[in-house]
Amino acid sequence: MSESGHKKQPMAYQILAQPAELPLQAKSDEVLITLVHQGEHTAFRVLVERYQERIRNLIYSIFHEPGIVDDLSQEVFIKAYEALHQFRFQSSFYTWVYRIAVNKSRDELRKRKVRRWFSLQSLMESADRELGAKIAAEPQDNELQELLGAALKSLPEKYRIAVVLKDVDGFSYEEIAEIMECEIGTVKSRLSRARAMLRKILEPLLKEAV
Amino acid sequence: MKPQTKTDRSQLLSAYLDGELDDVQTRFVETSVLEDPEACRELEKLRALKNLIAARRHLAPSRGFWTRLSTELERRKREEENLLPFPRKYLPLVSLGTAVVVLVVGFVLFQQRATLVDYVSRQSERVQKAVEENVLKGSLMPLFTHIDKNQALQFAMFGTLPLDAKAETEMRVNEDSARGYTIDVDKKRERKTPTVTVQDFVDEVQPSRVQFQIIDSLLDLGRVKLEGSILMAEDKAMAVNPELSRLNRVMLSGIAAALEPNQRVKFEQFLHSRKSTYMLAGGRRGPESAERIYHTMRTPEGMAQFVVFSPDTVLVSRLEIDLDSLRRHTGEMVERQRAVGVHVNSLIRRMAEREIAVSLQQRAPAPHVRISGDSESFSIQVSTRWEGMPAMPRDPWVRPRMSEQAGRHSQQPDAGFDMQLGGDDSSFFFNLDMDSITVRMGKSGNGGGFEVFKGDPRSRSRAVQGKERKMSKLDSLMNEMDKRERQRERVQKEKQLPGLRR
Repeated sequence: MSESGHKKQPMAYQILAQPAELPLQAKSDEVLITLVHQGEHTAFRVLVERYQERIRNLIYSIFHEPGIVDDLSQEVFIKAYEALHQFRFQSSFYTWVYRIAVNKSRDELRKRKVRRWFSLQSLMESADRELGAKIAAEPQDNELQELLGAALKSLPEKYRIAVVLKDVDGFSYEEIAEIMECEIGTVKSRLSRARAMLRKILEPLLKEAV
Repeated sequence: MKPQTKTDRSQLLSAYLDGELDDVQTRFVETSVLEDPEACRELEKLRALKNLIAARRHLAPSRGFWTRLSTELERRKREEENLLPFPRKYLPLVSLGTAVVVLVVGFVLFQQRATLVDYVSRQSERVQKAVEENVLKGSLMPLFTHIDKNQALQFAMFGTLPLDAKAETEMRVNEDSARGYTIDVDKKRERKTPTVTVQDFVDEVQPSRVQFQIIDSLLDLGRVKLEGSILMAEDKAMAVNPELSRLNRVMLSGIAAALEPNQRVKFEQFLHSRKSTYMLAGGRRGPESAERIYHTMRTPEGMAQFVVFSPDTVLVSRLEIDLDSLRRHTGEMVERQRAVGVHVNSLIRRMAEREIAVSLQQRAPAPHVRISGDSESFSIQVSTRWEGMPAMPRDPWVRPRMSEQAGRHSQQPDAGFDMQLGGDDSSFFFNLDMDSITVRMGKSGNGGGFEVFKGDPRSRSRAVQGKERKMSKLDSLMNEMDKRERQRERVQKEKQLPGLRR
């Protein structure tokens, strides 16, 4: 019993207590998920449209390859659709679907045999040489984006995802920890490390900015 | 509060920028930045980096993302439903039903396990029986037919018999090798076996008429034993009587026993000049009685034990050969002799192709029979403990010329029980232990030259018993010899009894 004397209602009951006349687009994630559970599959479309761009940008930030973004994003939402009946409202749909996206990205990275040491080596060796030369030549906006993408891509997987989730998508440490399935302290150190690496690569650009 | 290392400071600054520090940490960072220009510069760079990443250009919105996604979802759903032979909604029900069926069947099997084990055991026995009954299939044919007395004498002296008309392959029994008693069938050795005739023997040793009669009967007995010692079946199984391995020595010993001491000297010269593998060892004792000599050639009562082997099996079988039948079919045998030679070669080749290796861990008595060979030959080694081996006289009249090797063999320790058929290259090797693998089987039929009866004599059919009553002259002679021997022993005992009383 709560302090107000009312028994605490289950999540699904609370969710459906929202006004029924609201259009689907205006309903919360939880209501839409409950509707999908009840067989209202058009509700899933709203969920997809609500998050597809963020997921696409997350994947783009991780891979810096526009060609695979749509395919991988599609895989993310198919996985979400298949697993939606297991969703128990213990986290927000937002972080849940991000976790799926991160895991899919990791799988893809593993398939490509992109290992953390390899990325680190790239960072230290080829990236240093190639990026350093480009950055020193005062890049234009397009080039700046390319350099930034390449610098991110050169980071090891766990650092790259952490920095994207924080600086691109603006998640809190707690949410990042939930998405990446690790401790908050780990997120903190990964972010610090990732930024240190990026600073080293993008040093000339940062000097100008400062 | 003070950060311990540069990394700690970087982490604090990074978290400060992200707004993830508590009040105390935030104040500390702000103070540090004010006091420490290096920390200030680092913070600015971090902020610039954060802004740079945040300002990263986003992808253009995807058109038709949902259309593509929903199409793909539909396609997968159809594929998944096609895989199941029933609607997907029944999947939990079907799973539950399957689990229940598995549990029920498992429970029933567990309850009926005794019956099940019994059933499996019965099936195994049936398979075993089928294998046994398929050995020695079809007509049986002797490997040797028409052995004359000259060949019998040659066999007694050298232990060899030609296997084919061209005499390229021969059967050879050995006692003078370190392997003990062996029966080999292979290509003829380079050392040519001298030709010996009974007439040569008579000319040199000059036996009396009675002695010649005894020796002639002995050779006749040996000849018949030889003809019934190796049989070939149509299914390329071969039956070998291991008694054969010592038959030549027994025959030679019998000849020597029939001679006077001075004749034995001539006989030894006869053997030595023809490089026989045996030499005389009887000293100056007088000749043995005919009964005693014939007794050594006597076949033990009951059916003789044969080693029967095919490309797949080796077993011990008790077989009884009807010698009368052998004679009836002698003419037929001549025609079949060519086929026998082909079968022998095929058997040897097929055995060498086998690749079976069995290793028994437990210790077991040394094997009584060992079969080995390669693609061109085979060898059967027989232990002296073989029950079918003819008894040697206590004081043998002959001994192997290579007595040292024979002596070494007698001290040879028993081998283990490693059983192998197949192995390296094209060789095969098989040890047979009498105690563990004794299979009684046989065959009856009129198609072949030999009549072989099966199992306990009491259980034979009347037709078979009728055939059995027709004893050959040789059987009659041997039975008569047995009778006389027993009578003589009885008389000797009776003579000794009154003396003892005194």
